[in-house]
Amino acid sequence: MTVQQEGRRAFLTAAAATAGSLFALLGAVKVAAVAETELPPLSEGVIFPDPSLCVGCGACEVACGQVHREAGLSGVSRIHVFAPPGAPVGIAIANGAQMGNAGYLPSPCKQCPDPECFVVCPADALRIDGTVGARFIDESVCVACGKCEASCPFPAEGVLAVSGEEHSGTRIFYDPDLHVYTKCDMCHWRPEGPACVGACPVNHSIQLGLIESDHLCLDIRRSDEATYRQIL
Amino acid sequence: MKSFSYVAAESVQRAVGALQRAGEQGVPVGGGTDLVGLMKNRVVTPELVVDLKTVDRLAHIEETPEGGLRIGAATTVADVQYHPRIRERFPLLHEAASRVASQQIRNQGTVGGNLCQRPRCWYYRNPLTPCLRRDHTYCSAVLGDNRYHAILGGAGCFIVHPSDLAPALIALDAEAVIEGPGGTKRMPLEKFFVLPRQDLHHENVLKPGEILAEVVVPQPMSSGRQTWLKFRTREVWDFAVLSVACQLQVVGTAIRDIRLVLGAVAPAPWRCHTAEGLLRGAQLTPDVVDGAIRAELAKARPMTHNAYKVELAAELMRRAILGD
Repeated sequence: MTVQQEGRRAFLTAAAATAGSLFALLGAVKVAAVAETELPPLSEGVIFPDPSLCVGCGACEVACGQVHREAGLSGVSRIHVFAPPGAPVGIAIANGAQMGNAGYLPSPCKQCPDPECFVVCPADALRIDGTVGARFIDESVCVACGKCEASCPFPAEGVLAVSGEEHSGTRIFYDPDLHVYTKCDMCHWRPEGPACVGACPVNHSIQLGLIESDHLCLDIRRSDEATYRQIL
Repeated sequence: MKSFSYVAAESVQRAVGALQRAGEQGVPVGGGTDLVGLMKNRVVTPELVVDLKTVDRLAHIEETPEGGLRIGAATTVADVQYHPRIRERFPLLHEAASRVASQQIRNQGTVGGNLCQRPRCWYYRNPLTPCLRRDHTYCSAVLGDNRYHAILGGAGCFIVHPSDLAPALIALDAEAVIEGPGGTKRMPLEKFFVLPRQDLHHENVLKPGEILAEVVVPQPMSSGRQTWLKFRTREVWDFAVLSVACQLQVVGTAIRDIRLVLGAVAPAPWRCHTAEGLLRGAQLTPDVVDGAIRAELAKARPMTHNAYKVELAAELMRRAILGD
């Protein structure tokens, strides 16, 4: 990975310094001299799901886990789809009914403008990618204390569509195999962008005109206040 | 077919060495009944093919002192089918081997090849259709024709594992012996197979340079009943729409032990742990069996065209357990 990264501590240190010393210290191009109370730069994009289009196939989850595993990171998916028990795959479309009947709910990280997880991490493992501004966890630094997971204000609860298991937590997930926490990093190192968006078959059907929709099932939206509030 | 190099390996070590050097571009071949078709269709385009049939001592069926079997990966399916001790003591395996494809394919195809064959999904096999497993695009089956696809364990990709021998061997508690650059590894055959959420692009744990060398089958349950059922769309010969392998030990009217495995319902052979847990120690009655089957299939997530497989699985499991 060649992207520039900024940790919370580095960010706050830099914020207190002059613009010149900041650039000298970090080599960061996105961080201007700011007061300590200012927010970190917004993520340029955020995964924006439309539950009414989701067919519960789980492609987003497995693609997420796969690309991260191949990148030497935790293979735990950063996006989870919740489902009513026994919800069939794709039934809403098959029946020609209005989509959304199956009740699937994809729950990605909202890339908060003011991320709580960023503040509470004692190991400075929460980072902001210098290219797209994605908030992510540096797994090589994470001490698995769980404070980020606990601080995340957005629940991710219910029955997981893929495994059928009950899950109760937030948008940050624990990997028991690697003993680290993970969250959506917008696949910031991939030129193709987030793997979940690319693997979604509904997205492709919309792009091919097979499903009529003016937006995608898993979209990438600009991370602004309006988007942030719309994500379930 | 894209041109490739061919190595007739004389030993396991040479096969492993050649495959390790080739990395992802090397593939082992047994009978070739699956691989050649994949190569002709350019679904796989290896630069090196390493023949395991030429390896000394990889085609054998040996009885162990404990009453089990060691079956070499290069043993043909027909040799398993006609082995007198297998027919006598492992009727489940004999039945499964007898139902693999056609006699010509059983004469050519190997045990290792049957266990490591690639999916039959028509989207995977057609290089012109997008496939998340093959070309990392997206799964065409989700919104396409998924009548033969997975009802259990699917996520992102909904292939079913097509092997007939795998469910049978798992029901017999077999172990896989893997040879690779790091030496010999042994693991339960059940753990040899992986679901898409563990590895989206492979069906088993084999890494480049590793080969499945042998399958070790322990002594079957004493006084156990072994059953193999396979449903296919035509009786002549075909892949399973659904199969059930069951090894059952009943004492009096109670189930002492059971191993129940479904084939062609999931991206890997599906061991019915939930049903087994409910049945072990329970009375062998239709009500108890139906309850266990319902609990197992409560995890099913049928797709748009394959809900019938849930009913089919329930009926075949019922017949396998009750012996109807």
